[in-house]
Amino acid sequence: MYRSFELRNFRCFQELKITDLEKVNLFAGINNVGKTSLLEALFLHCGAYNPELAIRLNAFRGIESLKIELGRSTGTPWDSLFTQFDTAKRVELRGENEKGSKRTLFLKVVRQPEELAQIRHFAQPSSKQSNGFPNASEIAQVLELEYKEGGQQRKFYMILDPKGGRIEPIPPAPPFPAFFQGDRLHIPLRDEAERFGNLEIRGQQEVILEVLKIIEPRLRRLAMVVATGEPMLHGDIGIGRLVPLPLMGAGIVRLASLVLHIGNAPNGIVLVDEIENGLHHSILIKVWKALMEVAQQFNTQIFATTHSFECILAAHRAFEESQSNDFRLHRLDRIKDNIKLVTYDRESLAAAVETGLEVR
Amino acid sequence: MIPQEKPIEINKPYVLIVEGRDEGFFFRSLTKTINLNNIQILPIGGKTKLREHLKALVRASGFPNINSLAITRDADTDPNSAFQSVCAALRDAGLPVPQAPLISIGQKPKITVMILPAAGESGMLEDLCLRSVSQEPEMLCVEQYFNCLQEKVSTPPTNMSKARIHAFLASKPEADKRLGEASEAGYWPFQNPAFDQVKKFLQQICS
Repeated sequence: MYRSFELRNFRCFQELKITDLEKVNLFAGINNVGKTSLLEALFLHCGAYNPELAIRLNAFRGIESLKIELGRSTGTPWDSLFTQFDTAKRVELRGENEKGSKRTLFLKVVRQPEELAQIRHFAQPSSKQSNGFPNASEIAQVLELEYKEGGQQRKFYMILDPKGGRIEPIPPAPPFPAFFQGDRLHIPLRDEAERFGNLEIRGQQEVILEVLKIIEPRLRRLAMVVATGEPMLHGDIGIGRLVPLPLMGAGIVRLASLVLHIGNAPNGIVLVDEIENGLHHSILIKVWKALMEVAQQFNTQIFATTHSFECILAAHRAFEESQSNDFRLHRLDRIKDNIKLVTYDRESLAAAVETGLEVR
Repeated sequence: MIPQEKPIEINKPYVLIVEGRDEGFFFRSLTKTINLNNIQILPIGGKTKLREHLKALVRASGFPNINSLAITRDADTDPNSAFQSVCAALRDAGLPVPQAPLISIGQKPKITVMILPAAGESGMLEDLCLRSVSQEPEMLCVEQYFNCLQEKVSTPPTNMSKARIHAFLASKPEADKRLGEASEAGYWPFQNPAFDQVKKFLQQICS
């Protein structure tokens, strides 16, 4: 579990440090202040060794296709990761967990011919994926990810060249599972089915059933049904046949997705953009209580963003009623050219709610 | 608790914290009278809420834009103890603590405290208002009323200042107003010297 997280030169952040992270962290702030960017930074950091995640962030932003223009000195698919698109400075992401262990990632765009030549030299023999790094006369776009933890230090490269994209060397599995739920990201039904299957294998599928009853109290059973070649979660609501979950509404699909991600990230992280989407305000306290319990059960840390005062208030009430101190509200404020963070613990958030002062 | 209402945003450079809604109406009228329009008045729902209110205020998104933050509260029986209580709340919120009432400290925000009704005096805002109308003919009737009560009733009002305010306002054309609403109705003569110190305080925080 992250206790603190620092980022430098990432997207809109020149520098930011968060020191009071808890099991559940909700981020508020005006539009374009960096809430989603912060989740993205965490997602990259969770991946630890995988520079390809930098490309995946484009998809989270709704940029599905990647335009690769080799041979141009300006513009790489990852330029937008760097503050003001200035790739001369490297991105630095540093996280510390509850045991005090620190991991730092550095991202930089490799442009200099001599550096590219060095990468080519080491990449060719180790690669099983590639057909070889381009000759010096050919042009590649390369993102370097340098990883430091304890005494360990390694570099991984995301390489885009005329032969396609690849990672050199092949990165190991991430240290813990992490999922990113973007606000506009369509999650394939097959992926959700797989996550439900994972819970079933461990005999933990009841967890999701109980949570979904918040929205559909008639729900008795969940089942995975393959229809038109696609596995899809169905629910039994006592009408004589199973009903596909998407037909029960966007809210139940959203909630199912949240719980499936948490349940599939034991000892890991779930990042959720605009968590209140699809959920009616009247059930938000129950939803937060359920998420709190599931997160505790699976030891999953949650980072979410919101624009909704009702969502913040519901989270506060849920944790307050449960006497839990596992919740923090963080707000990003833009002050001149910098972005500052304000954190509310239970006491200060209670005070803000009591006094009616704006917290978003 | 005000969760159903629209949350309050800090959107003015000068902020005055007052005890309750009624004080809020009073200071809103007074600041308007002396043409201080850039001041935001925040009623906190009672003097016991100051500590938590300040903790929330320093985290509010508009807080870095506040040039001057002022706090008023009633002295009640002990002006020094009232001032120390405000100082403790300021300290707890990590804000600068002034040495004495009406002495400002710090910058952005500058902090100023006023203990009512006036420096070094016991009492409350109601006493200030009563002082401003002490020469009004209605007050003779008010005093006669309370003298009469003292003679004939075994348990007179515990808070005589508040009781006098109610009695005075009962003499007005719209007799159901509270202290703050009475300010808006123009029942307090803000040009009276009784309000000079509080007006000077308001001008000081907006300077």
